Amino acid sequence: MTDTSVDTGAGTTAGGRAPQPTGGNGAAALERRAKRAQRLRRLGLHTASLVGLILVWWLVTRLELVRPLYLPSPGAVWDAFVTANTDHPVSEGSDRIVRGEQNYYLWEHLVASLQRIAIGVAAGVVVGVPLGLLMGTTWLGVLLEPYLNFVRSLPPLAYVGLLIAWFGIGDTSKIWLLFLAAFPPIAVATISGVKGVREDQVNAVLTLGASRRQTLTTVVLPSTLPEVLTGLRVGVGFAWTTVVAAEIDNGIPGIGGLAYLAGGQLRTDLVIACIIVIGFAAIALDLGLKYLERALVPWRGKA
Amino acid sequence: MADAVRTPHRQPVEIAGLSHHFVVGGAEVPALDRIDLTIEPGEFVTLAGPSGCGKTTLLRLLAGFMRPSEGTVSVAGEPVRGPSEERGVVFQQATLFPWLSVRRNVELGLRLRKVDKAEREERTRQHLELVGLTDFADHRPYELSGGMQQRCQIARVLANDPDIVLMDEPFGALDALTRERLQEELLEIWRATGKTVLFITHSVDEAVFLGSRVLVMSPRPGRIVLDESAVLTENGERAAPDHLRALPRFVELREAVREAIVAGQQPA
Repeated sequence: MTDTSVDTGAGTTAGGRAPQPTGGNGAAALERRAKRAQRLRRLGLHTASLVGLILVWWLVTRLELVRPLYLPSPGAVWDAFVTANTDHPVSEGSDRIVRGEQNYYLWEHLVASLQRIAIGVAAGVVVGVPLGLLMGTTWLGVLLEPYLNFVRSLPPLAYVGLLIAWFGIGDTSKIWLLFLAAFPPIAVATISGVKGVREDQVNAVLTLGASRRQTLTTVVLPSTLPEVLTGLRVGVGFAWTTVVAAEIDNGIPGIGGLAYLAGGQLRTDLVIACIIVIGFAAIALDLGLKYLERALVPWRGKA
Repeated sequence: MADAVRTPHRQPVEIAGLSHHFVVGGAEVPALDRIDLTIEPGEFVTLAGPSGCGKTTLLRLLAGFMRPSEGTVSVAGEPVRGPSEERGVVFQQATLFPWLSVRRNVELGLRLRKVDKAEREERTRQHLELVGLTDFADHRPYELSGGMQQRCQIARVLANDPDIVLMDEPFGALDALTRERLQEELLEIWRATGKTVLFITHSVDEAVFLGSRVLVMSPRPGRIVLDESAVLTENGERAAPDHLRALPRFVELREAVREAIVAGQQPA
């Protein structure tokens, strides 16, 4: 909004950001090409650093600087990953064939965890967003804020036992735990979003004839959306970090449960395979949410 | 374009014994001091004065964004109790909604008031054309320059057809050329529609150019220290916008306004 150019009313736009109705295609194409080159450079950098990391890891194990129990080789982890995704003999030379790990393929463990996270986070949105709206606009905020901060600061391992006692050892207690991890950041983000709504935007819509309800739907909700989406990303992140705690008891199938179980059996290759899968799944999910953010709030940072 | 001021409404704005103060750090800071003012329907009143003299406070009280400490503000005999679609506001910073296209921003008031589709689309089209944004209807506000954003905001207010338009230094942040062009456009729009306008500015030239009546406010606490009719005629007719600045009466009035502002700033 710091335009100082002469406004001819025909085609001048702030910072040349806008697509121009006539001409300017060459510049747009040039910009696209520059962006693609930048993306490629970044991809190259990431690939190189990953290859380097694996190479160092491989060297450390190859030179036997660390005992394989503590740090299995990349090959051993890959084998554990493949074994966990196939039917294989229970032990070398045995006729008994088992399915993956604990009777589930690794990807099935992952899917089971993703389902729990999805339900927990969805419940977090369903509860967190309306609660945040209420807390941001009414006296409920003053009343409930200490409780929200209390729940927010608890480590999930501290109360997972309580949830199991209340809701049983099945999926209900796990989903509760993931919900409790995901909903506070969503509620907190919604509150800060509501409080950040520009007063004059509300005034503007009131002078256009909006009712109270219309003010909520046309101004408050859309201008809160960017913060809610940020809260969602943080909430999903918290749910991932809580997934092992959620699946510590009776967590099969579940990628967190499997990682915990494998650790107990000193199968470090499988533990590392699980960690890598969790990490990649979390990054993929976050990229998806980032994409959603770009699609839903294209004005972010521009207005 | 109609030559004279048409008055499609009969809604005088009456301000009586209006005082307002803010509480800053426990102390009362006076902003407005016993203002009495009647704005007749169809007048274009410009209010000039140095920054921080309470001009915006007066506008916000008229808009209904806050309640006065003392005195009354009423429109057509009814006290102002809050914002209403009969009093449109053009803000200093364009308060456009980035999640809506330019077109959707302009038609927002009509949508909120559930005006039927055919009329809504027609009025939106007209007003986009009026402010020269037809080609940018499907852009988002942040893709427009500052001047275009202000034009979009003006179209949004006018499309909603308020009887009274309150404008708070809408051209303050624009470069000189854009500003002059928008001033002429606004003057023509006003002459065509006959709306009542209260226009706040700290520019003396702008106040005299736009207003059919010019007010000057002194700072802290704000009081009206000058109230002059500024209907400028040329050969017995209302002067064309591009002739205004050359008229002797324009120069004279500009000097009077400048002196009133300077005098108001001297410590009493």
